[in-house]
Amino acid sequence: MLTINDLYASVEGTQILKGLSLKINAGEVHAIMGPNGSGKSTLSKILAGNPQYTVDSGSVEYDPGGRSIKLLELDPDIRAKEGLFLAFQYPVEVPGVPTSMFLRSSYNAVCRYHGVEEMDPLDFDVFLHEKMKLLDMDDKFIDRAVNVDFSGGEKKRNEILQMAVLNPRLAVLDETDSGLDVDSMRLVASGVNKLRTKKNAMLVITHYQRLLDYIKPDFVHVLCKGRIIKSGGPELALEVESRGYDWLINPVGGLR
Amino acid sequence: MEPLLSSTAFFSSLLGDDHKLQSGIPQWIRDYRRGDLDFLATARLPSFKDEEWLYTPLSPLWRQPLKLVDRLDGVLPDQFKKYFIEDAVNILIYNGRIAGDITLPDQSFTGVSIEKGDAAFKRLEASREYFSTLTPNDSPLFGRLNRVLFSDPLVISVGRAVTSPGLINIVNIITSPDAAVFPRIMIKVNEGASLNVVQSYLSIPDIAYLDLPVTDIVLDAGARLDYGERHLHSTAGTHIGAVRVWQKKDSTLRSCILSTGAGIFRSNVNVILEGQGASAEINGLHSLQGEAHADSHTYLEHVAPNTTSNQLYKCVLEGESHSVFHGRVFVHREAQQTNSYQLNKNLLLSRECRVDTKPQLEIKADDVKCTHGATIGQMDEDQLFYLQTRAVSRDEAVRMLVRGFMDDVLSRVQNPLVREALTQE
Repeated sequence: MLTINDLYASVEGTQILKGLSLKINAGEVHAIMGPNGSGKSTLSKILAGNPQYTVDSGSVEYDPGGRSIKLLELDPDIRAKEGLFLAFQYPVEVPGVPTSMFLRSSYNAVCRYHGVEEMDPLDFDVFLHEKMKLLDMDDKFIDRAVNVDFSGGEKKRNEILQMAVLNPRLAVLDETDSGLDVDSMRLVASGVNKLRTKKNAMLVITHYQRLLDYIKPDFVHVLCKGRIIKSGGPELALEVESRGYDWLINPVGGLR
Repeated sequence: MEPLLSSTAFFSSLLGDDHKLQSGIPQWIRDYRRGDLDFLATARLPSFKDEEWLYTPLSPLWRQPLKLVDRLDGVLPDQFKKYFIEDAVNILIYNGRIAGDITLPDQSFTGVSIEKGDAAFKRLEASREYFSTLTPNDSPLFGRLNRVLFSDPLVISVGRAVTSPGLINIVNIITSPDAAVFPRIMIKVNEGASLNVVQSYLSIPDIAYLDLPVTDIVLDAGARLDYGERHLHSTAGTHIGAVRVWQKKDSTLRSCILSTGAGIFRSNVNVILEGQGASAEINGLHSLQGEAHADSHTYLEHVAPNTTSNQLYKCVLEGESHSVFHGRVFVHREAQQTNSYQLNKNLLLSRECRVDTKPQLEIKADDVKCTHGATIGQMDEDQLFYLQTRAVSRDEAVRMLVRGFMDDVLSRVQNPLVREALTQE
């Protein structure tokens, strides 16, 4: 579904990704772990098309189902329409835009793109309330402006609600656990797990192993200095949890 | 030294033949006019040093020959019919003259009187203390010009303790090229009464004119007025309008002025909170394109203790448009426990547009809560990107954010009749 090949990327003149390669198939959940500054968030922003980040070289092939697309050539909204979703580490507050209106515009923009009939406000309301139940959200969320005056936990739940509404083929979750207490994390993780199918895939970016207790990955990759330095199964995350990153970064040992 | 006003094409076209101005006008008003004419004959044009006009150049106006429209002619073009609202009292001011008779449709206007002609002049005479005042922020020039040249006043009054649930909808329309119009409106809400009034200012496209209305509002003790103005002017038009408000004890004003600017657009709002517990909410929203210009001057004077004022003025600018905001709050020494909030926010959508903003606070009292501020910003790239990652195209995201920016003002219009009249397409 996603093939990242030898990707180099920069922000504000500093190269962050330095030869990153990764392959994700439908039905798989991949986790990317890594110390601060290793390029985890940069990867998510490059995939979503943030204009502040520049791709220096490399390619990203994306296959939302039966055809291959050069992902990096598309505008951010087209990537979303093609089924790519980024759950932000820091969801953006959008004053003056009511959440319910925003979600419906978003959903209908995808419908229009695929030539499917748009959903009218009443039907959408029913549809939205079903999705809200998944995340135990009440009505006051959707009456307010997008993320404005939301707590940290509410913002993260709102991200997963948007994911539920858009039903993406490939979801990138950028540090969805940061700033969450255990109860909120459990709720968010269960929301994510309910959206897991054989047809879609997820890339879970996290600093800590704890999220992976709730969202079980098939593969774990350790990112360091802009490259994946080790890949393995779920046990790799546990090993990182107990030993830290140092043994991977400096395999010789503590000598400098 | 700036040239004399009397040396301009503007002056000779409007005031060259001054005896014409006096027909049908009561003597007591003529007495004021004599003084006004003397003043105008020797007045100099506002210079660029005059802070009131610093950012709004008037030179095109002085070169412009204008004409007074002294009779109603022609049929109202169809395109304006939609501005008349069912169930409202609709008053048409057509090229500066009140058209037709005014009828009050049903019992929702019991206790409301709307007068023109001699009856209106009599009402003005009864309120001479307001009529005679020249407010500071429109510079004496324009206040006097209206007083010298208005001929068809409109006076709306509501009796004591009458709550009028309906809407009075005043529709000002200019269709005559180079017309100079001087509407003079007085709204008096008596003790404990309440009223809803909206004024629309409209014209046919691209014609030049001068629209110079004065709207005086007096709110007696405990009175309430929900007030709105909507301006859809010609790009070549000039609007210089004054809204002057006197508020007694515990009265409430809620006002919102919307515009798309004009060739020269100036809105002066002058509120005197002279009774304890009076409160005023003065909001504005301008959406400017092309070379449109909009200048809002507000002056909130807290005279009595325990008074409140709240101002939110926003502007969205495209093209080479230009917005000006000068908001002045003055708190007298006696006006303790005053609350005053003032905010001006501007959203720039092009590189060629321009904003001049000057929030100003002068406080003589020592126990007050006053804040003011101004922002000038561009579209937030983080917000745009966020919306785009949710499948919303960039153009649509821009529209959503602009609408969100503007809705902040519109959502403060509490009265549903006023809001509907202001926002109806």
